[in-house]
Amino acid sequence: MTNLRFPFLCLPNDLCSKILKTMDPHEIIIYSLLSKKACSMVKDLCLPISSVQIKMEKRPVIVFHFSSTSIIVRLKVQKESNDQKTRLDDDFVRFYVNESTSLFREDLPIYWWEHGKSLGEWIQRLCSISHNKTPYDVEFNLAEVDLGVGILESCREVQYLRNIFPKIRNITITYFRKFHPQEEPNEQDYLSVQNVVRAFLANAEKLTLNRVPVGGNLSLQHIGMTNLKQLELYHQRNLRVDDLFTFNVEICLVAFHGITFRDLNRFFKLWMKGSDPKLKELIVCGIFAEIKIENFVETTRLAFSVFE
Amino acid sequence: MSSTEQGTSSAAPAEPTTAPESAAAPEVPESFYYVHGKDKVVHKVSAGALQHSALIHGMISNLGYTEEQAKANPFPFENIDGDILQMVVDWCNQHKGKPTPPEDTNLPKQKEKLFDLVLAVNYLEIKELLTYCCKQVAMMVKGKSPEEIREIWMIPTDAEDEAAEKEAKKRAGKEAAGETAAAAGDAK
Repeated sequence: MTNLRFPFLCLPNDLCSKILKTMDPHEIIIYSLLSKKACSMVKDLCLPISSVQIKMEKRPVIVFHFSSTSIIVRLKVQKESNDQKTRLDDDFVRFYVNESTSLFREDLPIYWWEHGKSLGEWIQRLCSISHNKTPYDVEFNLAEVDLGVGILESCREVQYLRNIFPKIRNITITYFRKFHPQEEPNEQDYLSVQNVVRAFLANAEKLTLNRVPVGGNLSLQHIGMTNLKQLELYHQRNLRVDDLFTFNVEICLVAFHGITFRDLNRFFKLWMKGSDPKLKELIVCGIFAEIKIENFVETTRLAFSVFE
Repeated sequence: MSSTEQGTSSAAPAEPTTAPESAAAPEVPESFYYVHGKDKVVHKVSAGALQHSALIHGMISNLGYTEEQAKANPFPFENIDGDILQMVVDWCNQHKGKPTPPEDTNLPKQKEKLFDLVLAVNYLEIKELLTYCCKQVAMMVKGKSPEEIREIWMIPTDAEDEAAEKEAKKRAGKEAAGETAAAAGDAK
């Protein structure tokens, strides 16, 4: 450790900002983690972050996209076993910061341990450095992350999640187990799905569900009725054709679903007659023994993909 | 600190040591101005060198001093240490009339004085030197871990910030109470 000291915060604010602006983006992000004041100073810089991607999985990843580079912040929490899910109240977080100038190259691996703050608090701080209009895309793998929270009453859990994550533009919820893929979802998993949907769906433009356990107080109809632009459903075996009629979305993709072709054909006929007027584009991917598409409305764009 | 061609130092403001006249531009004699810092040591600087400082340049333009008037009235910068002012004057002399290079090797090397230098340069509004100084400060933490950055830049933790804030509030409360008591005493 060097003996040199520089009372940075004794400088006028404009000078501090000027100094920070001469630093590389990853250095500025590291600086923002030092304290609330440091974080607020970084926020005032209005960094040119074009978008932010967050992957909430076993080891959460936050990627800040700048025009020519991306800063990747990986967070790892200490767990006794691989089976244990990552939770937002986990303490003792290991940080890995990388810079990536291309898809295949990551430089500057910097890592350190932090304790005294929970994973949720760190994510909240990292998310707060970008300006309010930055688009956020967040992917939750709820087989690896527990967002049932469990430490608060259910109504406060939603608020707790909203405080940590900013307004999310694109939400992807997946349920994919790396270690025990056959294991059925438990009650806590259903609760996690409900919490994420209740917390973020209102402000989202696009929602993607992949093998997500939906049940209890929440159904696909509830989700589809929200004013989404785009809804993508992959491997949602509980999807029924009646659900499609209730969807209030402009673009809908259903893939590897449980709907029979006969039911789909019934939907197309009614759609042509004017039911579901908001739906402009429907993409259906699946396996069918027999294909029969007739008289689609000309004004409606329809992409129909078939996997044999 | 060594004197440069255009600038020297002396202890008495009235009799600054004159430097040999510049060989360049013999037709138009260069005008000189005088500045002093906290230590009252006067530095003679050419108008060309002082162009770097927006503050002094503005003062010169507004005052319209003659050579004699300038000698008799050196610009006082009481908030700047003498050695810091010397560094600034040296830098201005070295970069007089030259385009400033992207990487400056003539920056002062004493990192302990960087804080005072940054403040002085900011006050004197020397844009290029300020940019270099800011880069120097940023370089201090290049490749360092958060804990090292915290130590080098003396950044308090959230807990320390909160404690300091509480302390300040307590002090302010006590002062306010003291003032109220004094006012009540006066009224009696």
